Amino acid sequence: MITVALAGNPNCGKTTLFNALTGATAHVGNWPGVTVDKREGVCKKGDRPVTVVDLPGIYSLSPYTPEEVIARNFILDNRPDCVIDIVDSTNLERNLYLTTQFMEMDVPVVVALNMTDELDRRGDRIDAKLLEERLGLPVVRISATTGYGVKDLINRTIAAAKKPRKGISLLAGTSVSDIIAQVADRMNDETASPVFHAIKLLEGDSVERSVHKKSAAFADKLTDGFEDATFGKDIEALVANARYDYITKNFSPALSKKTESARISRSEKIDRVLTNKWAGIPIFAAILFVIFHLTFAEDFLFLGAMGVLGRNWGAEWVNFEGNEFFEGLFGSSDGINSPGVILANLLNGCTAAIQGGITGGMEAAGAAEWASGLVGDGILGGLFAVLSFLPQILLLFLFFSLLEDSGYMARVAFILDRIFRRLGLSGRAFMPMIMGFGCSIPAMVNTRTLADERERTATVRVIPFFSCGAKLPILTAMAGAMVAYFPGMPDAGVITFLMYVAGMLTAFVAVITMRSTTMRGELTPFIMELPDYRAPGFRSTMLHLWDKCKHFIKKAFTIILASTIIIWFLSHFAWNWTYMPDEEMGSSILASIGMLIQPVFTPLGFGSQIGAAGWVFAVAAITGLIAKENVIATFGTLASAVVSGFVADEALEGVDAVEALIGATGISGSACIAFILFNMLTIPCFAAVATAKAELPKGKMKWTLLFWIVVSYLVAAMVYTVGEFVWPVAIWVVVAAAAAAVIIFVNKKRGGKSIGLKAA
Amino acid sequence: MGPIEIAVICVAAAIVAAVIGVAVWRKAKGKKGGCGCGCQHCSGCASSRKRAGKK
Repeated sequence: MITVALAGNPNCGKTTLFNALTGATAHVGNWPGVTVDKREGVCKKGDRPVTVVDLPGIYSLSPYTPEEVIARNFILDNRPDCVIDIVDSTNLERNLYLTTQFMEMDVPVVVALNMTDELDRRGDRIDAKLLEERLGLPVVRISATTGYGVKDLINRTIAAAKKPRKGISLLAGTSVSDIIAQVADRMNDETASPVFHAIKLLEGDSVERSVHKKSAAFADKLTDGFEDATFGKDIEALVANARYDYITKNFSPALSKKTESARISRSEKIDRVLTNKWAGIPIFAAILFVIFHLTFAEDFLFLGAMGVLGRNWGAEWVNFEGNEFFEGLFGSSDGINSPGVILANLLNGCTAAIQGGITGGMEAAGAAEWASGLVGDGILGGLFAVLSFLPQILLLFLFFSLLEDSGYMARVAFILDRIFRRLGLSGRAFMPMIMGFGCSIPAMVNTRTLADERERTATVRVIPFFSCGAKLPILTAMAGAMVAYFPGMPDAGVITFLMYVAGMLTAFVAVITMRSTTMRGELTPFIMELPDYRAPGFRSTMLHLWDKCKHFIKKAFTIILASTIIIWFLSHFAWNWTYMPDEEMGSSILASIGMLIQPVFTPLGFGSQIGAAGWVFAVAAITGLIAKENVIATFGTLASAVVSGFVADEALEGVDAVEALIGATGISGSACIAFILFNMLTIPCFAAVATAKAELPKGKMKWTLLFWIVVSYLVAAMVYTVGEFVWPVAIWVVVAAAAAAVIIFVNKKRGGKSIGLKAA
Repeated sequence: MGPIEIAVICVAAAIVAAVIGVAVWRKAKGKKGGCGCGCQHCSGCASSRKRAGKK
């Protein structure tokens, strides 16, 4: 089968085209660097099936970052039958720079002019025929988003793949053309694409020089004493300039632009506000707050807090008092529910009915108490406690997906670069971090876009601090339960938002500390192409959500389901394998294990100091290491057994379970926050740990595990002690100041160019 | 122990065995699982020959 590689600049639409060709649903986003690994699919849209390989975006074939190496190596080593060079039509000249390098290789190339619909909207035109003549390569106008021209593209690619092509140099007439010809002649027998390799050797490409050592020495001899009138000895700059000159002279005439004066684009106008030096960050914080408010708030627009909803006005039509189905669905006299809470309430109404029906049916059929307990309280209780948060998780990711697809997230990376540089990271690290809000696994993989190994290690370590979707049930359930149980607590949306902020702050402090101590290194400059703002596509947004939903449900019905069964068995059997009814659960295997590890959490507030059933919190923290959703599943499974009189038949089952456990154990508010933070910051799930191990340099994993344990323990202990006793503030401040002083002193003594904490 | 209890125990045991069994089997085969989150590193999500073949 013919193999075709999709290559092009970052954010030119390679993955969108890959999805269009193969019918896949790979993740696409409106920012450069979404794809960091190659992926394969089969396209059956053309005259014959073709294997399509999607590659990470590259600006040139001289790689700097790991994902650029992947793209270059595939084209050079795997030698696809044809390369589809995807060119962003709205940025023709810059994209053709990579095309000029493909032209030097012995591989058939087809140029796909993508985003032609956007080009037409702008009023610009590209003469594809003229470009085809000048390039000497087939050129096809396409729009990967709408599917326009895709079939034609694949058929022309199949035709091109049948004709072998020899690479040509576009640098004829330059001062290095003779040298290139001599080196290429020498390499003719040594390798395919000799022209390409010869030019790379002259450019001083380190990978090429290490592979072709003899030819590199030969090229060095030829260039010894070489000096260009303009560029001196800098052949790389000379070659780059010659390529751009060639593009301007030969290819640019194919592009006719609308007058420049009409060209202050919509994106530029929006950017004047959104990327403003002073307003940029507050706007981002405000957008995040609105998202969290819409998803989690039980007092929408703070109407209840502001007294708009009085007992005599509003409360009755919000509460639907007396109506079995609608009561509490839209809110109460305390406030109107946000859309996220309304959706969660709706789902919970359904799950509660299912749970009640199954348990009632089993009891009616004469099932033993333990059997209906296992199914009703154990399996369904745990499972539904987790599933109850699905609507809010999906809503949150809908908002994040819209921000990402619109191009706004790339701007946030840009505006945060200033702050990130002070921390010792480049703005580029922001994208993997923001991906961490979805799932730590792709976020860790995406750190491949970072060139510096130490910066990459530091970023991988702090990614789990950006609370992922799996941790959301912990935050939401704990926040909701705290609001319900402790008087004077702010809205659940506010608590959740503050927990996210706390996670981010911890990440920033951890990064500063690492980059000032064990992860010192140089900072690479951050250059990121800001994509145009685009209206998010309905299909891609829905695919993002569907992926999230599928992943969550799959996990719920596999790992979580199995975990709830194991937890129920361990909590209802003693070491001598005798059945323990609910009231004797304190003698169960799980309780004895929980009680054994409980003292470890005493400094964090959910250890030995809390009531008899306090071991549940210790057990939940441990089960969360398998999958974070297990924390709430554990509460859901154990609540009905531990707390007498608890019936999870109302809305927000997970919240009810936690609220009942708070009441039964007497855990304090600050200990609840410490519990959230410990679970947010500690070792992530098994899958994330395995990914971190694969992405980190050898030998760093054990230190990373220790780092997660120490940070989560310290932060939780700090929050608990300060919240509980106030006076430890002084101790923590002194410890932090002393640590900072030591780091600054050591860095000053070291001198050099270390980044992070240093004396002014 | 009646038929309901036996059925409950069998189903619960089967679920646990299946989840653990698949995890162990995947580990032994060295195949990375598709996490479904849209990431690019695993063979399970994104594209696959099987999916495209259905079209």
